[in-house]
Amino acid sequence: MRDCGRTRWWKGAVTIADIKSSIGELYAIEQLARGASAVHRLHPMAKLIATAFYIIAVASYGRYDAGGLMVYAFYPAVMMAVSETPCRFLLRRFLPALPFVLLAGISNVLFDTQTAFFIGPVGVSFGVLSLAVILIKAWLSVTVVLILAATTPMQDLACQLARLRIPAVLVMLVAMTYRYMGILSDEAHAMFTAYTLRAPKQKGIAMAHMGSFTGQLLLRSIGRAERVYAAMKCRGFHGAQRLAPARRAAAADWVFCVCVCLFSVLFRVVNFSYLLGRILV
Amino acid sequence: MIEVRNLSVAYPDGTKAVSGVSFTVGDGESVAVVGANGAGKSTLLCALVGILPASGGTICANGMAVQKKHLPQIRAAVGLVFQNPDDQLFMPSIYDDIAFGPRNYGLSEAEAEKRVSEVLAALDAGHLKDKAPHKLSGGEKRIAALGSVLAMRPSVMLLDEPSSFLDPRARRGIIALLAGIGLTKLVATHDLDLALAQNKHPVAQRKGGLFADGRASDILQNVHLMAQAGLELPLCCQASKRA
Ligand SMILES: Nc1ncnc2c1ncn2[C@@H]1O[C@H](COP(=O)(O)OP(=O)(O)OP(=O)(O)O)[C@@H](O)[C@H]1O
Ligand SMILES: [Mg+2]
Repeated sequence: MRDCGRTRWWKGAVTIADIKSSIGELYAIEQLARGASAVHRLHPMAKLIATAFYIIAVASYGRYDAGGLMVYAFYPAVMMAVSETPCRFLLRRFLPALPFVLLAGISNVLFDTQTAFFIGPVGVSFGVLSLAVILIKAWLSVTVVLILAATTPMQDLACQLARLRIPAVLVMLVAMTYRYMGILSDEAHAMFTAYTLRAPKQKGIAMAHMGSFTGQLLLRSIGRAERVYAAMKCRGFHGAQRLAPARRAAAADWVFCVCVCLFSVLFRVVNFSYLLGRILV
Repeated sequence: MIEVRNLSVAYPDGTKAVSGVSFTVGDGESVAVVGANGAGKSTLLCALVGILPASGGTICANGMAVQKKHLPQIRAAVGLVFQNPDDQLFMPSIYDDIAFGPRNYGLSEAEAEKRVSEVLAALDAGHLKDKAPHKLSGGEKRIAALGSVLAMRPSVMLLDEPSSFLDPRARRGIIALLAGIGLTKLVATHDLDLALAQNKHPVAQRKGGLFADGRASDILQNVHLMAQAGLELPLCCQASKRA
């Protein structure tokens, strides 16, 4: 269905086809998350804690410390290889975040022009260095989160969030929004198809119809959401989501978790690249 | 067992969708509610499990009045299969969807898994287990929705247009499948062949009001009555009349 967005007669239908395809990709993550690699089989809580530790360690690096960050590529690289998460998937997912990251770092380039070091004849300013650090930090963090999402089903993550005493309402909100997004996009897609089939010469939705189109979409989604909710109530749903009871973490899960946390903290505290440099020189 | 006395249901906007309906479905009986589009069949079924409040009259399901305080027990015993399976299936996989009800009623994961396997085996749909609902065909969704309700082991099943969206073969399959489920059933439909397959009396509904109640063959083959309900005779009867 996602491919419809790319065929010719859809051109101009950018908005809705786009919503549809990005939500389709969201569900693609869910498909990935149903794999069976060693990473998939790790306990979700162990992965969640390890990921959090890793991100905190990466984020706490100084603004010019590009060298120190390099070793941190090790963890996502291993996770990616073992879980067989496609590299293209991770790269493509990072792209939307890129403009924001660049925006955050660009001012440094403009204001921090003092030269930090030379690569051959080219001087690299502190500003450029800090932009590189921001990029690396963002890329590492986004990648580990994506790997977490691509190896752990949403339901399991929500369940772990609940166990971490995050209020049930919030957890449910996340889980439900995730579900309803699919419903909303289905409705939008169906309405849009019906519209274009009867207005073949027109690109997208005419401005004059936009009001009633979005209004109808809202009403229909509300109706749909109500019926889905009724169906849930009919099967014993009382407002507090009873998620799949979590499996207990095994020793191996905790070994993994502790190793990653140690790795994150150790490399943060001890400057290995500096030590390595000292030994080699 | 379901007993409905003088039931009226109105939507918040004032539409009176059901008015003054009374009927009884005894234990183990299988009753069809037939009526044209908009006759109020779906509304009636929703009211039976308390999704829509009754604006008048009483409903008694399995010996309990359908009131707020009894709803959890009633919903455990009376399973409603929605008209549109897309409304019914909302979990990431068919497995999770069928396990949703049992988990909500406090079953352990092992027990829930056993239920899912049982249901899928009974429906001959083991291959759907790990599929995502939005990737199924209409007929497969229908089967999965049926399974999600069967997994709760209800004693009464309410089915809203179980044969819609199906091709002729799948439709026959569903009719046979339903015949094989030995529970108390109330089937809302305008598929008269399906109605005829329900062994007990159908009740016919027109513009919210019930106006006929009797044996399947009497009602469904009565040209006059059917015309009043806005329905046509089942094809098999039309053919025999013509011959
Ligand atoms: N949410 C609603 N608000 C107001 N009126 C409604 C609503 N839903 C249905 N109705 C009205 O109630 C009446 C009965 O609707 P219902 O869905 O019960 O019919 P039905 O017999 O199930 O029809 P169908 O065979 O098409 O499914 C219709 O006239 C309809 O317009
Ligand atoms: Mg209906």
